[in-house]
Amino acid sequence: MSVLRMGVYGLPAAEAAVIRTIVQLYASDLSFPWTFVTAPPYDALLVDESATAAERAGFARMAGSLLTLTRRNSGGHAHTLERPIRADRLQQWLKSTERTLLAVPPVPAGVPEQMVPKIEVSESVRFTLRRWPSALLLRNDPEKVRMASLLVRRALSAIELSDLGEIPLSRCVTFLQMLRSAGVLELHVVPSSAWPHADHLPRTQGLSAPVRGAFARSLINGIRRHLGLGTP
Amino acid sequence: MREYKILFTGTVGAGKTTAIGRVSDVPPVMTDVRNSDTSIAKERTTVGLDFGELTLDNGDRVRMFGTPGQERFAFLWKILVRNALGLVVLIDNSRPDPLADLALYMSGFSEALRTIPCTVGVGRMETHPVPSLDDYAQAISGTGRVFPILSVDVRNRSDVILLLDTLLMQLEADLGGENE
Repeated sequence: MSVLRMGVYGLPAAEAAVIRTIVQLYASDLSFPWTFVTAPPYDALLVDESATAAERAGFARMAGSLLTLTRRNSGGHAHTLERPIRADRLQQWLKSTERTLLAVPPVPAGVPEQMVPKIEVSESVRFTLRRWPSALLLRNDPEKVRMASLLVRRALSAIELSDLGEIPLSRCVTFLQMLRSAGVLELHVVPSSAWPHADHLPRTQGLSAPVRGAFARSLINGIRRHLGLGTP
Repeated sequence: MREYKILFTGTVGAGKTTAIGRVSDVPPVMTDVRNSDTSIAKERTTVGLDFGELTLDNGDRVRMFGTPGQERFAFLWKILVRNALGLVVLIDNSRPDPLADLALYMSGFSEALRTIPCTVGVGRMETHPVPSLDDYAQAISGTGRVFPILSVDVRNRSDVILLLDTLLMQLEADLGGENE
């Protein structure tokens, strides 16, 4: 289910391990979208207070949200987390970052979480992009960029998106949910009798002539291999 | 052996030649000459066709062409884009009106853009953050189209590969539709 990436920089190994463990424990809840990563891109980055201003400026470009881990009783300034590391405060920050990144307004009081629209996994429900998603949502993450690029050209079901991008279905569904929450996703409901020959489905652009024919897939795969992208 | 092409276009100095050089198997063939256009602060510029190439396992070749940047060469764009696999538009965000630059290429390639995949790479955003990527997305959606828009540093191979990946994913989506 994880789709948002959290990392650390400059923390002692023991503290990095604590953070990783906390994130992994929370991830047992399927609604928790964070995963701990050791390389960019990051959606959120926890940085030790010893990082220089220049380093922080660099991190700010790499990550959607930056939090500094400070010593105990350092004043509780904004965007800081005081030692000792507390799981509840870390979770609070991740939750707030998640809302910003996904552009999801907090669920109003009295409205159950389950009332928030969910993405349906079905051949009869397909999606296209109304517009390219915000940079904050994508963070130049190749996987998200790849999914969004697929949705540019043709209305796809969550299953098709997963197949074409070779991305686990759960991550596709989470990403579609993010796009929907951000208001950039167009839904197309097709009667089951109409698919898979759903000719009336919107194709945002026409077919590109050079890739027609049986050789097209091997061409795309050949280019991908050559560029070190792997082959869906 | 078959040959295909991917086109890189964009303003003078946007980095078309650099981008091609980052992924080409061979040093790009360059037709740069001394710039005689005094309105452009660049010593050398592309006035012909730069190209690099990828030679695939089966011997097929993908040629990557960089179009001349200046609008006065716009007549070449339509010829060059014919039968291209896709179009990469590179924008230099430090120019006076980069959104107008984008509009120029959207208009110049409008006919081709009905069919071929396109992606937009915006450079120099670290020093010139405005217009933002969202501003570009808004401008493109205003024309009724949706294209990938990414911040790029064309000196980084991974950034150029990500741009090309967005073209390939669009081709993948086309194929899926064709198979139905």
